[in-house]
Amino acid sequence: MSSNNSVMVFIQQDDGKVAEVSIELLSKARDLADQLKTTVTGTFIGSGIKEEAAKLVPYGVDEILLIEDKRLSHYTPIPYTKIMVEVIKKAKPQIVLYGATTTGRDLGPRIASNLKVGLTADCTSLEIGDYSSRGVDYSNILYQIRPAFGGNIVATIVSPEKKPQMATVREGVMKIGSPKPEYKGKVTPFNVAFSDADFPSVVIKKIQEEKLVDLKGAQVIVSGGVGVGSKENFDLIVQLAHVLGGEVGASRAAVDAGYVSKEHQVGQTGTTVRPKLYIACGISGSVQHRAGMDESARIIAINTDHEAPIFQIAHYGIVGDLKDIIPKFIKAFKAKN
Amino acid sequence: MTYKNASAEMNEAEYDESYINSSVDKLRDTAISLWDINAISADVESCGLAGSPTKVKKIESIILKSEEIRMVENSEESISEMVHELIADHTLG
Repeated sequence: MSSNNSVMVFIQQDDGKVAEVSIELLSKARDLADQLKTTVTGTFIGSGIKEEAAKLVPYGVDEILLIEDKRLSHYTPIPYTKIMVEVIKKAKPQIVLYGATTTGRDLGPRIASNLKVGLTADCTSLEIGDYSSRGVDYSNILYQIRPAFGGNIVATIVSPEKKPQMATVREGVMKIGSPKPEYKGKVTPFNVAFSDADFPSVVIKKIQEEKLVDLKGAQVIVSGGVGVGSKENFDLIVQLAHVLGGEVGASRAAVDAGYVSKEHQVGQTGTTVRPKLYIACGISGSVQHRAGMDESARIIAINTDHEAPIFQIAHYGIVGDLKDIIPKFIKAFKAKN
Repeated sequence: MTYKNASAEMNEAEYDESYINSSVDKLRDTAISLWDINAISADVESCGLAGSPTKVKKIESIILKSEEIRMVENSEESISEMVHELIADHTLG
């Protein structure tokens, strides 16, 4: 196993399918490893996943440590924590990255607590740089950058003294790099001795609701905020999204108000999106919402308040009532198209 | 949150001020244990900011950039012009 000092990614799988956030992190890990002149390692835990492991190598992975057992098909905290701790102790990576998913948010802190190392959650950026403290200089340290205090500030956090430096990153924040089929990497089985005590809980049944909303894949998103006013008015948002061939998004406030379900939520606690066009209707533009959509290629803001923060990041702004503006938009699009 | 077959003293008794006051009086005589670092044999070096493996290197305020925004008049003509631009540059359609 040639993993010492590598940049490691915990590769999350759900029913044998690799989570997209893990592929995003492998791409970012490759970028960090190139800067640090080291390798990229993936830790892949599950059952019957060897073929999937090989498919990840083209994303710039030098080695995938594979741990397979039928009992590991679904994530449960105790065995997964045990495996990751053993892997980290043996492979000695300098950095370990996790997706900020339900799994990653459960697993990361358990590992950090076990190894007594630092963990920064929900990072929006990762960089390499230097750090000095109390007369000690640390070079090539991971800068873990994330919003704080309700998103009013951006904090750069470091874990210079203890290795590995660990961070969780939200899905959609990092971009997936282009896979290179010619990339040479290996899949190495990693053996972990289990006892029954390592499996105190068993997943008996998993029921997954069908995903009806694909915000991440949408090229056009029409989003409504609490300014829409009512669930009935939200039909206008749906209408415009339908006419433009897009998806319906929403701010957290609109979801909390019951205008639309949570799958449509865009923002820090919802989905991060990067569509070609994002139309924000009746959305004030809180930092938490902006965190999920401010990298959209084009942003149109529609709001009755000309001082709404959303206008600060929009490319087009229309001040007025969306009940008046959206029908005009629909009419104009149908006429031109 | 109410659970079936479970109830608290508060639920049983009729809510009135005298009930609340008598409960407070009972609690006033209750001894509350105070624990310090020695009581829990805590490692001082692991406590507080000094004990955190993560350090804050830098904090920056978020400043919104207002560049390039084009305010569009709320009229059929102006909105139509905007839609035309979005179709022309392949953002829409």
